Amino acid sequence: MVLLKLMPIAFGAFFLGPLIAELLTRTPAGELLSIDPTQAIIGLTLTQFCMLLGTVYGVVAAVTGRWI
Amino acid sequence: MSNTLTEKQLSELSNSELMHLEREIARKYMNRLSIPMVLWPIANTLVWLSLWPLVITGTLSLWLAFPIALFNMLVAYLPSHDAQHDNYARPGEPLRWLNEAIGHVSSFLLTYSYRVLRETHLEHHKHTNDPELDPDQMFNMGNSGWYSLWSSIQSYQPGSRAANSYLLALDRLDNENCRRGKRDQFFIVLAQYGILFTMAANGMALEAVAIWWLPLRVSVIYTRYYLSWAPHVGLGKGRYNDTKSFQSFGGAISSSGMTAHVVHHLHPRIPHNRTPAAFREMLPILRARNVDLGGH
Repeated sequence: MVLLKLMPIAFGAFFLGPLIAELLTRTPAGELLSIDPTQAIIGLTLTQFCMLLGTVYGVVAAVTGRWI
Repeated sequence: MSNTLTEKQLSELSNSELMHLEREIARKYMNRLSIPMVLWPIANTLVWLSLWPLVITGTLSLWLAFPIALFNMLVAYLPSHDAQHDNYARPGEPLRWLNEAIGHVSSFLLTYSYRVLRETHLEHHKHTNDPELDPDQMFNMGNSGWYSLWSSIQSYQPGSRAANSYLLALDRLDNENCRRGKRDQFFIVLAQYGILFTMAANGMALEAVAIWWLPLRVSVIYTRYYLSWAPHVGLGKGRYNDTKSFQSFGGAISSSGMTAHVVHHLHPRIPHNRTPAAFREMLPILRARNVDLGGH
């Protein structure tokens, strides 16, 4: 099932990434880290950057077979 | 009747006499539809579904929605569990549709296929504590409750033995229900991911985490601990040896009545809400059977 094997990548990119971005912008965690959500990080918005991180996490999870 | 006999008299009864007394008690609690067990999943599902629009529209705070959703998830499994044992209605009975509807809806909240849960749970009952044939056995080892937590986390690792435990049981049984269950499970996971991704794409990942994802994870840990690990850890095989009672922080309620799980294994067709009462009535017989009653 190729689709199931790709699930960790999709989960990282489309859920975990946006979730981290929301944690940094909608909760007090953002104030602690002093992150400006409008500021570009390596040419990406905060959400896009977090989605990239999520994708990397998903690839590692898919390859190793371990979420954590 | 067992209440009128002293423990000494009970201990002198033969196996078949004890069995007769035990079945007499069990019969009083089974074969009648339990209305609370019908209302429970309907109310629980409606409350959980209502959280979504309430939170999305800002009517309900996320901080309030999370504990409600957590409670919904913690209690979602038991109606499905009753349905797995045909406790609402057996095949061919007029209310069979209700049994199946409750089973499917309650299981969906937990992102499980009802067919998968039923087939694997019935295997657990048939082969309790058998390392080869009981799909739950590998979650019921270790010396402390921390093992239960660890094995629950392991079950989320795609390549782990814990993750494949149910799949192996389904492959071994390989009947029509198992095949349909695997297909259902695939679509249920896809549906959940679709909902989570859609929420995240609309800037509501936190809402999805608070209402579904996180409560679900906690619920699985709780369910594995109280419904699986605590009543079976350290035990062998056999009708009166494979399940035990235990003391629970917060009593029977905090453990979802699982301190009486031993009676569930002896008489699984007793509806969940009546099992604690049957357990109390059966206590003298269980003592005569040398069941591990955990101080009860």
